Amino acid sequence: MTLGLDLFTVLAVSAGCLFFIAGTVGLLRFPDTLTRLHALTKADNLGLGLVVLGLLPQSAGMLGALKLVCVWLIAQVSSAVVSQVIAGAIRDKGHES
Amino acid sequence: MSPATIFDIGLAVLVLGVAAWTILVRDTFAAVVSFVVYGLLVALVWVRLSAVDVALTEAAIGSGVTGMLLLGAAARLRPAEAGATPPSALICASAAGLCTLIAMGLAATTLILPDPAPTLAPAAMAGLPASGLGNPVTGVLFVYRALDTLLEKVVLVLALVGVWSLAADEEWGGTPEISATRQPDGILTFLAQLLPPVGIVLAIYMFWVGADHPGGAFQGGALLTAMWLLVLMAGVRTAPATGLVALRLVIVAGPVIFLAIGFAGFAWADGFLSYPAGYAKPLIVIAEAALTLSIGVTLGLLALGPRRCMASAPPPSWASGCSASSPARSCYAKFWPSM
Amino acid sequence: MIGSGVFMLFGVIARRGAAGGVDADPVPQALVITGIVVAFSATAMAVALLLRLFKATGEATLAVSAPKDAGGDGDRS
Repeated sequence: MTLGLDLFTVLAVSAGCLFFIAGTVGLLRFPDTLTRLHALTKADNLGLGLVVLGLLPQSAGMLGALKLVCVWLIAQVSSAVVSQVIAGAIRDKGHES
Repeated sequence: MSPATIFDIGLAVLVLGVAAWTILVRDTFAAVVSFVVYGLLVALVWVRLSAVDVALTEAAIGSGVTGMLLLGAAARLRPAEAGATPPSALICASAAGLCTLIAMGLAATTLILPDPAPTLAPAAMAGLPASGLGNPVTGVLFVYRALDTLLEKVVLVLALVGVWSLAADEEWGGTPEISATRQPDGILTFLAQLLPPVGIVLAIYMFWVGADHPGGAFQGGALLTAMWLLVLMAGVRTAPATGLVALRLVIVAGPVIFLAIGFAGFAWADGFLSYPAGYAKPLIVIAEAALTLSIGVTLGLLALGPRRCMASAPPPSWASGCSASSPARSCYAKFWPSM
Repeated sequence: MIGSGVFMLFGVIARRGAAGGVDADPVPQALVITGIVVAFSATAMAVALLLRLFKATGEATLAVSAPKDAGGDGDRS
């Protein structure tokens, strides 16, 4: 049972890391800030979700798992708001850098 | 080589790379952002060094609030950047060489420590059950070296007075400048209404659990600062005028209560800052609670900086064009109600 | 950055002093926590000084020679 759980953890965390790498490649290769924001928020949120999912079997009881999920929720909310704020600032300034 | 060692080496290389990038990059905004990233990576280093309390403090204060302070300064100093000339290559090279030499010397001293290294950990752990605490770092901060913590809090208040005194005389008692306009449907307002309740609960939890697990007053106070600054940034609340008596009472409440407990140690225990047997933990928790609130407010005011609103001078003509809820206008309206 | 580097040296010494049931010596950890807070207040003070210098002279760096009307500006502001 623990072997299966460990395997699930390794797979999920690796998949999450792949998504993070994809998001970083998007950050480096996309032409302007809005597309980079898109790559960052979509890929990183999914990557973080997969990492948290993979760490859930390793957590210390129900409370630890709940804390991990809370971390993911707060990261989701703040990254969504930050990307909206940055996009709004770009639209207001009228140029993209 | 275990995976942990590989991770450690990779982390060290990453920290050195980001640090070098912070120093070498020319644009101030990019340097500040890089510094915040460096702070978060250093927090990871602290976790690897088994110092979780320090990791929390570094992430919250060292990289979070300091980053906000530096970003505000970089934004205000942008007009001066055009005329700035970087120091000459000789000065840069000699500074880098000197820093590297000193760093290598200091690193060598950690390597020549005898094995096992001299440590106070057993002595610290031995006295801990008498105080009722479970976290040795909190024990050191509030039991063994409580004087250091008291003086550190006084240093914070002194720094705040110093920062306030750097505004012009007519601005004494005014409001720190926040360039925030209230957008009731804006996304930042949404975050400022959603996150602070969660943040406040987390801050109280971090302060409370600091007695037995990693946490403590400074970490909780820094989280309170972050929530308060978020609310101010979104314009949901205006920054308080620094002349408000209530604000000043909150700022000094922490050190004053701690000092009172310290002096009361003469009455009910051996001397200054000693606790009576059996009552150590409640007294420490009371002191920590007052300190958390004080630290939250003081750190926030330090990050906001000196005041801009001039209480005695008439408002400039552009101020009448401000929106009704902007902090600048409300500040002027306090002293010039005809606006 | 130099400050946080020195703190990390403290951290290494703390880690080497693992004994008595804890993974790291708590005394250097407490010293570093105090140090981080004090370093932040010093940074805030330095930034406030910098902003004041900028407000008074319009530049963010110290001039190599003193400006000619330094006395009048100092008294006024």
